[in-house]
Amino acid sequence: MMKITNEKISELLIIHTEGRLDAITSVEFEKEVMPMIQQSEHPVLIDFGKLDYISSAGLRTVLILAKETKKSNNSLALCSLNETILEVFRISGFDTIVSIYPTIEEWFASMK
Amino acid sequence: MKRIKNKRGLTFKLIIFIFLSVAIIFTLIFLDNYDISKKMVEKNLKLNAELITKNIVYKAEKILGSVQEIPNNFSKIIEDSSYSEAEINRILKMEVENNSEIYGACIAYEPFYFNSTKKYYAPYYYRNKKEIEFKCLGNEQYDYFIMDWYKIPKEINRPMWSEPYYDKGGGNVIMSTYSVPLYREKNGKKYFIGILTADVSLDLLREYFESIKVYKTGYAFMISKKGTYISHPIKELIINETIFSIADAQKSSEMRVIGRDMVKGESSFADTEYYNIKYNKLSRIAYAPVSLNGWSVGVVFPVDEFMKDVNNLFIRVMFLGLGGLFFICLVIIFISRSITSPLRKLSIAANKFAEGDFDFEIPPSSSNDEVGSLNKSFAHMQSALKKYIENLRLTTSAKEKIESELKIAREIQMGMIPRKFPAFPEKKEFDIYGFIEPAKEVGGDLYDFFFIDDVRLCFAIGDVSGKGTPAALFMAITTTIMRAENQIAGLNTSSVINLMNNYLCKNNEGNLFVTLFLGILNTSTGEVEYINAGHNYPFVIKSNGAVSELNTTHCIPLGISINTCSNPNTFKLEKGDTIFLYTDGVSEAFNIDDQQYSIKKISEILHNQANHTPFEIIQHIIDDVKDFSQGTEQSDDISVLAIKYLGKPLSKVPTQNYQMVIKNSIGNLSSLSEKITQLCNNWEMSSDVLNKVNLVVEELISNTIFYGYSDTFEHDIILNLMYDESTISIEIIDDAKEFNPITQKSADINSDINERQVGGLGIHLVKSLSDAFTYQREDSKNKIKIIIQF
Repeated sequence: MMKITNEKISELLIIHTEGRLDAITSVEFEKEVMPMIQQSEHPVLIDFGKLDYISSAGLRTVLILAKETKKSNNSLALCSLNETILEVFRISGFDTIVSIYPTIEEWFASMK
Repeated sequence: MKRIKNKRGLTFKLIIFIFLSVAIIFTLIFLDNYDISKKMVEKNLKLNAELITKNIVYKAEKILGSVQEIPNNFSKIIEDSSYSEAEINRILKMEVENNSEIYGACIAYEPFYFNSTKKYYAPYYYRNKKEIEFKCLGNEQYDYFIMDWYKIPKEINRPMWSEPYYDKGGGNVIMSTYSVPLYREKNGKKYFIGILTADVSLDLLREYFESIKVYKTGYAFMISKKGTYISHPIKELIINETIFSIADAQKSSEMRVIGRDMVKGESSFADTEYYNIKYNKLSRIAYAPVSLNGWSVGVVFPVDEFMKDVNNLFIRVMFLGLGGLFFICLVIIFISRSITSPLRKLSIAANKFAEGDFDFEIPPSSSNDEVGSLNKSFAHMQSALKKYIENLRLTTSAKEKIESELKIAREIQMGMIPRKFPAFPEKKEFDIYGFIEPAKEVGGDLYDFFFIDDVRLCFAIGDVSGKGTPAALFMAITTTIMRAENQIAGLNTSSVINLMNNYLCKNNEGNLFVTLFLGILNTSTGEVEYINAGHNYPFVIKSNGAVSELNTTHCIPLGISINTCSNPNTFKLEKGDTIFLYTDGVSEAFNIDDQQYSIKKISEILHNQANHTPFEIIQHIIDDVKDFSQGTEQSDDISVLAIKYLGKPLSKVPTQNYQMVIKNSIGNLSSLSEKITQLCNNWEMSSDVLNKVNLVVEELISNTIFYGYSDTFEHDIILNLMYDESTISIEIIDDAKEFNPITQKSADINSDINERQVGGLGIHLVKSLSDAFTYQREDSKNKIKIIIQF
């Protein structure tokens, strides 16, 4: 129930997600995304545009990934969160620990 | 009258006109000819009459002359003075004896001629039977000196014929006395000595007159100086009557005039007409005097007889003429028959044609005249008509076939479009109505609506370029694939449109395209997601009457090129709002003055429709468009679709319960979330509520599975979902170790990323998202109840 793709635009890594990020899929998500982030020396963006759902397990993974980038002096950002997911982020205070952008374009703009 | 006249045939007309003309000409010639003939006959008659009359007069004079001769010669003898009295008497007797015409002779002497004592001396010899007898006339009683027969010849010194008379002795013999004056010379001087008379029979004259024949019944007669009849075919008239007495008796003035002229000694030749006595026939009369004695001869010419030849000629010519006319009639009848009989046959044939019998044989005509050529033209017309009708029949049946096929096509096309209203009687959340009217039998407009799941209604309106059959086929394809693509679960409108576009582009030999507005209405929330591929902007009528356009276009019409539509737009229909969709057949309907109905007009009408049902709104628009375009042919297909959102019906949804039993394995969570999703969709919940429910269930159950059991046995966790009109309640019952989530220390949501812990975050989320949260420990079971309102 989880689909992950990535692309590099001028050294910047963008990871597209699709589906649900729950107790089951977040394990798999962490396994796949962690290496990408570790390898990237430039800022990373995870696109939640097609993500329908996130639970606390998903939030936990996001926190782990965010910590990892922080460790390597890199940065992690999220974009295109739908209403429900954004609310979950707000409720859990996660909007203060990761930068959230409305669109990919706005993230790009902030990079410059 | 006029009608009857017109009904009469050609034959009748020809006969009437030709016959009348010929008859008139003939009659004129005939009358002229008759007149001329009559005049010629009359001229001839006059010449003839003169000749005949003069001849008769001549003959009569000759007869009278020969009778006169005897007394004339005898008078010469007596005038010779040498004869004595006795000798004279003897000669006188001899004269009577020797001349049968003479019945008696007498010499009446002047008084005292032979004897101075004898005043009267007149020896007279006469026949009595066979004997000659003597008598001496004259005495005191019979003083012959004063008698006409004595006195007049003496006075006039000429012989004289007396008035005729019947001899009383010698039978019925007409007599006249011829008196000759006698003279003797004495001393060289001639003096009168007496009168010699001879009683002469006029038998010869009579016989002659009786022998005269004038034509058949014509005759001649003679009258004396007094008008007495001397000779006449009617014997009784002779001596007994005069022409005047007869004229009086017959009251004939013409006859009186004739008699007067005859007595006067005048002559006339067939100038006068009168009715003759004998046969009372109209006759012409000719008369001339006898110069010897002043008598007059009349000749009677009966008109009918002398005109007989002319009349015969007249009758003959008349019969010839009538025969000729009759012949002309026959000829006319023949000619007109030869003209009209083929015409009549043609007329019958024409009537047969009119009744549709094109196989009726036209009677053949061998003639080369106008009728013959008419016949040929007619035959040509027949074959041409026959061929034409046959062609017409074939084209008509072909056309009928196409028409009936089109009719079926129309039924099929109309069958593809939902047209049964109310379409979803069981759905109270919305009201929908659609109307479609192709300009031709079939059209390229479409509207459609159908549920893709329990709550989401897909609706669309579209317009294929062009009209008629090609557009209709393209419309059918569009409708079909639209339904097909929408059946693929989870696709949003943008994906459906893109798939449709790909398909239509690939299979578009006719280069048609379709504008399409595709929307999905969540009937439980009123949310609408839509894509507009080049279609007219729909209107939204708010419940307060405000009208606005959904003026976003997401891509060009479908079927043109493979491109991608941008993301769909969404908006929300509140309770009482209506979305109104239409095709350009409405806005571009023309009136007689070539003006368009216009979008502005639609919007104007929609402005006061907030309180009306979709049916009423559409009815209003269609009526107005029809009024507007009255008198013109519908130029384009017309389609309208309207959906009014009525909101979730209150208190009508009964409370529903759902129970699931989950084994305590984390792997079961994914199937659990699927079930919850399905259930919530059935209950027509919004995705927001669905996500909340999913989140609450996952957080609590995963907590239990991860931390609740110290053994490795399989445990059942019970999940109860209860749903009513405004809330959903979630109940989780497990036999894990006691754990009250409410009393848990709240999670860290504020610390820095480096210090941040994830524990307790799940419970925090559940607390935040639920409207009520309770925990109970009963029968060694944890019982958590959460209520979420929407």
